[in-house]
Amino acid sequence: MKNWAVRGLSRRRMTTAFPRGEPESVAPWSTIPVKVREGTVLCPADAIHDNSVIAEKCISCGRCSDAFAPGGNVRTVLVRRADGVFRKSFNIFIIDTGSCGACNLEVKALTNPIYDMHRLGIFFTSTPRHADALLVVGVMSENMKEPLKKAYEAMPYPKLVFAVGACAVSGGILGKSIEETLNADVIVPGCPPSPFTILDALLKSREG
Amino acid sequence: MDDSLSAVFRIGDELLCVKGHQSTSLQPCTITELDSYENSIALLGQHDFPRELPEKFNFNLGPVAGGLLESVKMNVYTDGERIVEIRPDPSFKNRNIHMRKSGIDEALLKMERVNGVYAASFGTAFCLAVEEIQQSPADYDTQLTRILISELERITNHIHVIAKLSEGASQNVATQHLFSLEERVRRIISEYFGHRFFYGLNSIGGLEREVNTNGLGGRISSVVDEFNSIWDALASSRLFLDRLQTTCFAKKEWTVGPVVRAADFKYDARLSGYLPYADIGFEVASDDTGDVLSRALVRQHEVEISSRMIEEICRKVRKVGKKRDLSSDKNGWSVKRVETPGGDMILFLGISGGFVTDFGIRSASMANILAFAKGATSGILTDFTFAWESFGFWISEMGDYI
Amino acid sequence: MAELIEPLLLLFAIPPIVSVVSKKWSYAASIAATAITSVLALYSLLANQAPETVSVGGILFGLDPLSLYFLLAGSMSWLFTSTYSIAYDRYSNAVTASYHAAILSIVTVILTRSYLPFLIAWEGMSVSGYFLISYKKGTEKVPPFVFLVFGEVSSLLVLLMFTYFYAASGNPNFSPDAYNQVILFVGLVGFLVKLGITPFQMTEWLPIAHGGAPVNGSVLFSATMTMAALYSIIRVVSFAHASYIIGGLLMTIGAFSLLFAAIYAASSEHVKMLPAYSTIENSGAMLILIGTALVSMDYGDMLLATFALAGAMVYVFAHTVAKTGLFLFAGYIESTEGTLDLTKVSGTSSRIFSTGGLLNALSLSGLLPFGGGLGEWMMLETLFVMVTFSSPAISVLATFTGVMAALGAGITLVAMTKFFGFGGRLKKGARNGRRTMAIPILVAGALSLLIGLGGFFIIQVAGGITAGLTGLGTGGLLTGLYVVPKGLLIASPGQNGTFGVVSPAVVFLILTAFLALTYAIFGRIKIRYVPVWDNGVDKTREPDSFAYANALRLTLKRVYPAGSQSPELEHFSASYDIFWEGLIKLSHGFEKASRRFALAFMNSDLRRYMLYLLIAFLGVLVYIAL
Repeated sequence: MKNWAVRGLSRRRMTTAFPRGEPESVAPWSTIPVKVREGTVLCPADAIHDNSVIAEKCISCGRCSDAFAPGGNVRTVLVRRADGVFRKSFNIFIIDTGSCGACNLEVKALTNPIYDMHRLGIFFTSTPRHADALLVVGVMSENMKEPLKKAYEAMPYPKLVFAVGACAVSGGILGKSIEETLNADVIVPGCPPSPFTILDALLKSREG
Repeated sequence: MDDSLSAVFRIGDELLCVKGHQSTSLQPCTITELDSYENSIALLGQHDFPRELPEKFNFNLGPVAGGLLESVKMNVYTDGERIVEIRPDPSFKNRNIHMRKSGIDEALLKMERVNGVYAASFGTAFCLAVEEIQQSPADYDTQLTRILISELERITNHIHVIAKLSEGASQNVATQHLFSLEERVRRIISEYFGHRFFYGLNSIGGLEREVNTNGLGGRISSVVDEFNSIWDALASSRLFLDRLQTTCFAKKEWTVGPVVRAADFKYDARLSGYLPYADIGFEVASDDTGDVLSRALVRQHEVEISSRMIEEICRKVRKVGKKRDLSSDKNGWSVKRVETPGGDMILFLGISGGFVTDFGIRSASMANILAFAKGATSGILTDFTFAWESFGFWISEMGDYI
Repeated sequence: MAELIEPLLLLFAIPPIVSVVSKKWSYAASIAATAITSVLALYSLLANQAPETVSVGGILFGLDPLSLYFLLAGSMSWLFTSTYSIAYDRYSNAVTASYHAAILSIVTVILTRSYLPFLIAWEGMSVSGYFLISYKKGTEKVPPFVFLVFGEVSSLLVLLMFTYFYAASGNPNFSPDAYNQVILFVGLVGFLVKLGITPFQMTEWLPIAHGGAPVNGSVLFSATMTMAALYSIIRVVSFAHASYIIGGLLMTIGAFSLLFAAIYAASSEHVKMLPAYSTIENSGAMLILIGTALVSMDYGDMLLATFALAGAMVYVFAHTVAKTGLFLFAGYIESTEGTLDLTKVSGTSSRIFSTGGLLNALSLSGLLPFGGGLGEWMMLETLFVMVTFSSPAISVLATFTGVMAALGAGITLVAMTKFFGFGGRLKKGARNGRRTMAIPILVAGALSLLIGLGGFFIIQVAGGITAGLTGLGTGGLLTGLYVVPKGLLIASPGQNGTFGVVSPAVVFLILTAFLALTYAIFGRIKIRYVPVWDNGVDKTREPDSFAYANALRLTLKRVYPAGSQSPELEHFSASYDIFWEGLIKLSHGFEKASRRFALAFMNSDLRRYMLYLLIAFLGVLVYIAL
């Protein structure tokens, strides 16, 4: 046991300064690109219109790098509805409706000591019965429609729905978004969104 | 082994198969052969399990359960504590990705998102297949960089799998250390390659972004050193080892990846040389017990080997420029076997006129899932986590393609 | 008093005859007969009349508190069953006739004091039982046959004992004497076979449960034939002195039966097998009480013997009534649900039925203030006191018996909560049976409660019975304390004064007060129904009775036959137990051995036959020469 304690202490503080400070390390291509120079661009996700990128559609592929460069801003979430009730304690249920696995890992990363969402009073639950928010990742696959509805119905009021990642938000290049099945209250763009972006979304959604 | 089926692809009305652990040639195959092909997710549902179970004590874990990272349903049959039978049903999050009639570059982006966690090796496989059809192989430095990203991916994935095992055994301090290591590697990856999951990095004929390997080898080897010291501490815990040892045996020759290597079969697609692995000192890690601990040991060993190869590549390659080549208009098909972190993935790709015409994947998870179902049987329910996590399944790569 | 015997027998002879004409009227006649008998028996018991005998056509009949008491208990049971049967009976007239004939046989067993008529009535019980089991169409051949064979074994052993009694005393009627203990025990085993006690449970109860016996028949077997067997044991030991060794043997047999039957009852998913196992368990408890009474008598502790016997009396009454209720409950389930598989029982909307089932089940699980609870308390108290006996052997025996009894009693709670909980759960809109079927269940349940509440009264009445055996009345067992008036508190006699006390009435009052208080504070229970969250898909399974008992099944794996864990078997065949397996193996072995024997000796070889003839001839010659 001593071994672990010493090891833990020797690593000192790992936890990010976010949300008070700025993110320490952000993957460039997980943020929304901005136009930096002229060039020909063919966006495979059809996300570029009028020289700007539609955050919901961007799949972070970097195929626009001739004219665009990563914006570097992690605070790009769109909050349609927030609820201050969750300010002190916020329990989240994750549901994977057809993701590639990357969003799952980025959401899961929030529990590691670096992002440590528990310090902010945010927790994952293992049943929708205890959940305040439903965090949906992935495109809407046919077989998951029913479980998604059931999970939403099993949650107590008040409740929020997060669409995390380009797939859940707009369907990306792989399929349909979840919007036909559930109305998302918070939109978290990115492919996958940076853990900072997801954390930012969770924090903003309880500022009601 | 060499004439047993490894993958079956359907092209029109024709069934084509890949046999053995090495071959990349397609042969016609018959329905009868397909019947004996027990190593397939498609057949899992129809697999003839040994006996008809009474409708007693079956419960389902998933598709939406807290302990599972992805949506998968396990039909568990139990008489109380013992797993009498377990039947995984990965069909819930099947996305039916539209691959056919996609342009090559779009298909590559989709391929990366088949399994985001293995995006580097999936993307590499796709690029290699296209390059083979177009008869324009990428230059040597690009090939080495592809090895580099595949091995980085392997390290991240293996750390993740071992962290999950440690999480299952409630070794919480070790778990958090391992997860923070995983995050560290992801941050290193994002720094050097622009994206935490290598999305958009691979391109046909080269790389989409400029890559500078300066300092990468040292940083990775320091991460791996710390990983090894955590592993040593974990492996000195009787509590941890007790949960892993003799749990969920899977000694099947038809499995792939760390699973087959933990069962003392030295099968590894990297030996076939689809990329210049021989030049950078590749060796096969293996173990002989075939239980959860063996698989963890193989993964741990592979992390070390990958780290050495990364250092070697970083010595050889300093800088690789951006390059893309979609000019060729050759048509044809290709079969590629690539060692993803989970094991041998077989890709069948046909292109015509710049569009994908045929597409099929036999992923590592598909190859191994039946071994899990068999191995977990007659174990106790609390061993389920270890059995499941030790295989490192990704449900996302078990889907169908249109 | 004795002049009533002839009319009583006639009264019980009417229903079988009427049943040829009309089933309904035969039940009516039975109701009338049992009602009259109940009233008369109760009146005579209260009047505390002296025992009398009368000779009818050379056969001696008698009435004393013991027979009156059992007649009363039996009549109550038959009253409920006959009332229930009016709505229930869909079988042929022959089955109904067998039902009435069985009752007549039991009444005769209780009333007669002569060996031969007793045997005939005893045999009549087996034969009418056989008809009840086998008469229904489509019944398997084996179970009724097994039942009959072991019925004959029982009769044979009793015949052996009675022949010996007759030879020893020269009296064709029951008469006190110093009889051989071995033969006495062999005869008692004859009764035990009919009691269907471990290891004979499968020969008796399997046929009843799995055979085609209608429910009213099952009640007869379970509630009153066991009662008749117990009566016979007490009757025989009352005139043939039984030593403490027989007492100890009865205790041991009782303890094993109690424990194993409780275990198998808890794991049984068969609507009729579960209460059948419960009967074995209760019979075990009563045997323990009789055994302890015999041991105490032999050791000269007459007060403890009196206490034990009084306990046996409370137990007999409580069990007869509650088991009647519980088997009627089982019949109700069978007729409304159309299944005997407890896991498939969906529920009922009849509150009468559900409440009745609850009361009976509570009594049988041995909870105060019910009759079953009082009986069980008295059994455990007797064993506690017996541990303090000066003889180390008895002390050890009492300890082990007590441990097994207490363990069994605990497991019984699982069995009963399971049976009631899954068999009688209320559900809106579920199917219901006739009200005439539900009401007897409720009345039987209420009576079980009353037996507990009026336990002191029953013990008082039992004084007449104990006086005949131990020479002591039960006045010494009833005291008062603090607010409890004298005579309402039941006290167990320890070596130095009172050992323990209980008053079901006080327990009842306290419980009622607490319940009333809870209701006053919190009001009605509010239940909210929400869809079940089962991992995002439709609910796969509900917790059922199989799951409820499975922890027990797994922890006690060893006492179940190897096959019963395997999923190939129908889950309710898990109710087959190790004793049954052993018996089957034994019979297979016997069959194999006899076939081998037959092949070896009778292989149509002419020379062999000649050889046998020669040997036989030689034998005869030798015999004559000698």
